[in-house]
Amino acid sequence: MNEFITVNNLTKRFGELTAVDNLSFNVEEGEIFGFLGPNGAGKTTTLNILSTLLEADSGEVTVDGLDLKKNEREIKSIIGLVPQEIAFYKNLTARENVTFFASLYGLKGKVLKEAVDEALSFVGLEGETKKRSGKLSGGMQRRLNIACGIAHKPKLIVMDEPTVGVDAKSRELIMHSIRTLRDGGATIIYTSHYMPEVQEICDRIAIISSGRLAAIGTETELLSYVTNHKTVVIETENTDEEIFSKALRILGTIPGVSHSSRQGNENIIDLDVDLTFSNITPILGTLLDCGISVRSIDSEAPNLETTFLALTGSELNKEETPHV
Amino acid sequence: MFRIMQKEFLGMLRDRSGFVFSLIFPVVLVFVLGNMLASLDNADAPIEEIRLAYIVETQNPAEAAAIDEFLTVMEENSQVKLTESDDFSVSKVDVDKGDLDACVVFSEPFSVTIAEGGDLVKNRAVKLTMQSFAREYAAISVLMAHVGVEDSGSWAGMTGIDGATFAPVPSRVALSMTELTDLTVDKDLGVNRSMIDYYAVMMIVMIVFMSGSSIGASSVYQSKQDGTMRRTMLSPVSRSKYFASSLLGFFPLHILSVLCVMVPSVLFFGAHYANTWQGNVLLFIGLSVVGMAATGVCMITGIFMKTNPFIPFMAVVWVLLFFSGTFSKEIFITGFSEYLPTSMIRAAAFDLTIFGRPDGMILVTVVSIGVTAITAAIGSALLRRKELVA
Repeated sequence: MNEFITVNNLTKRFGELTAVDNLSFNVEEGEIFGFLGPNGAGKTTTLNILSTLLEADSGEVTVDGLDLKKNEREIKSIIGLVPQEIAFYKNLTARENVTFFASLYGLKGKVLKEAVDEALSFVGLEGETKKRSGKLSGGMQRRLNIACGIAHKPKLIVMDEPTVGVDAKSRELIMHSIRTLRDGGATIIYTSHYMPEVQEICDRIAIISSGRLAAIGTETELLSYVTNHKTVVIETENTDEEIFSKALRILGTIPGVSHSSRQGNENIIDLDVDLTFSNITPILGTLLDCGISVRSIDSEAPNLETTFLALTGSELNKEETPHV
Repeated sequence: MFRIMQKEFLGMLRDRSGFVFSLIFPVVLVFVLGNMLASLDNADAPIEEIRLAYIVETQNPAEAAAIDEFLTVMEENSQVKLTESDDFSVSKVDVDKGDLDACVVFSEPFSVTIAEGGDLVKNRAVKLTMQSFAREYAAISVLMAHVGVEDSGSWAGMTGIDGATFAPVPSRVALSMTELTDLTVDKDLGVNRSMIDYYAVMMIVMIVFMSGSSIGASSVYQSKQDGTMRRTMLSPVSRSKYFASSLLGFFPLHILSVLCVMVPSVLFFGAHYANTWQGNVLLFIGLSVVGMAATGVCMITGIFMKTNPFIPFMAVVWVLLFFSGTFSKEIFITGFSEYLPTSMIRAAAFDLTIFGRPDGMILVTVVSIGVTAITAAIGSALLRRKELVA
């Protein structure tokens, strides 16, 4: 795949605050690129620069081979924005809104009408075109928000938390729409506070923290940056302290098990094992030999959430500081 | 550009507060004030007595003789109590105190100045009487000029006014009947006017300022708040085109606002505006453009505001209207109030509607167009500063 966006040493300051600090990454053509970071990490600033809404203090950005500083107008015409907020006119109908935003990109007459019909149909709002936008349900408003950003068929779509506050049905529809757009050739930059969504939909993910790139890659690559372990959690029947200590010592010697511990005074044992560890027979054998009856056994593989936490020191959906 | 204008117009028309301020409020105001003023105008209180002081300043024998004859006739009316005065300022104080109902000064070249008291019905009676006399005198002067009587001596015989000697007819009066018409129109000091005529003009000035400010204040601020401006700025449309189109999109709304006062005030309350259709068109366009200028100024400030600017803007507009004497003429502060834009625009509108003088309204229109253009240029420049939008 070709590099659709290249960002080199991008820096943006607001007074004393360095919102984006020497940031470099690239986005491949036709991929869904997850862009994650805690609040205040600089992701909104970066997205604003990429979508020509802000000027960087230094650094270079190219979009579709065009230099952002020299070809702002051309780049604007190939970008579609789906902002986090519901950014359309509540007093206009769904059709009027999509028509207005599409017309800003020079679409006229029959082409405009077809593009509007297509966009409304794409997000499943073809039956609600004459309704005032403010009267639509929350999920429908989210979908209309997408339609307004894609009607002009942009090559690059910036989606800033497009599923905030929507019901499961609308979320599923939106997810499906995003994949369809990607399959249609669009490159998508996607941000979300909902990690399972990012894991589900993104081809590659960049995590930024304090304006710097913390990690970039596929989900598996990101997980491997942080840990090569997973946790096996075993719940047992009541057992005295001495038997627990003995069992933990033996479990720690099993190949592939790097650490064993008890959760406080609970009857639960945590075992850190290699990611590839799958044979639990020696574990169960050891516990039985020690006279411990097993109630349940579970394996907790590391996920993007824990990876994010490890890389940024913050939970993704934790509200800390305002957007920068 | 059309789409942006259409969006602004439709958006504001469908916005509840914009609709109420621009279209409902003016109509309600017209009906409330129209009904109140109609009852004032039709007051059935008898005039009883008019205490009138007069000062004859003119040295022209013909004018003095005509005035003397006129005063004699007036004295025959038992309801009129005439007093000759030699000091206008003293009489004016008496009028203000209520000891006199009015004071009239006859000056040269022929003109009549009236210092009014507080009784509206008596004021109108005095105005009507004086206006009739002024018109009659002017008409006779023109007639004399047309029959070739320019010699003061021969005039006396023809008019039969006690052998008084008339001065040559002033050339500006004696030219033609057209001029006579102009003269009477120019000297229409309000005798053919009703209260609604005055208040309708004041209402329009108030409405264009209030709706203009509210529209301008909320449009840009709201666009910034709900993210639509960010989305629009991302498009390839130039920012100057966007700002100018948004501003122009509000023009039909200002036109509707002005119409909402003018049409019902004329249809339901018989209000008169300018005496000519050209004057009415000038008034209509001028005041609509004033609304545009107010909107432009408020749009610019809306770019910087971090809270909803509607309330502070309304407060500013109310203060402007208050100190320009919109709500009570007693509040008018000489040396200050007349320089407020609301006062100046209202004065220009009165000049056009009551005295038929269009110069002030033309100036207001030109300045308002200029202010609108300047705000469009400043607004466009501000939107190019990306930090303000993103």
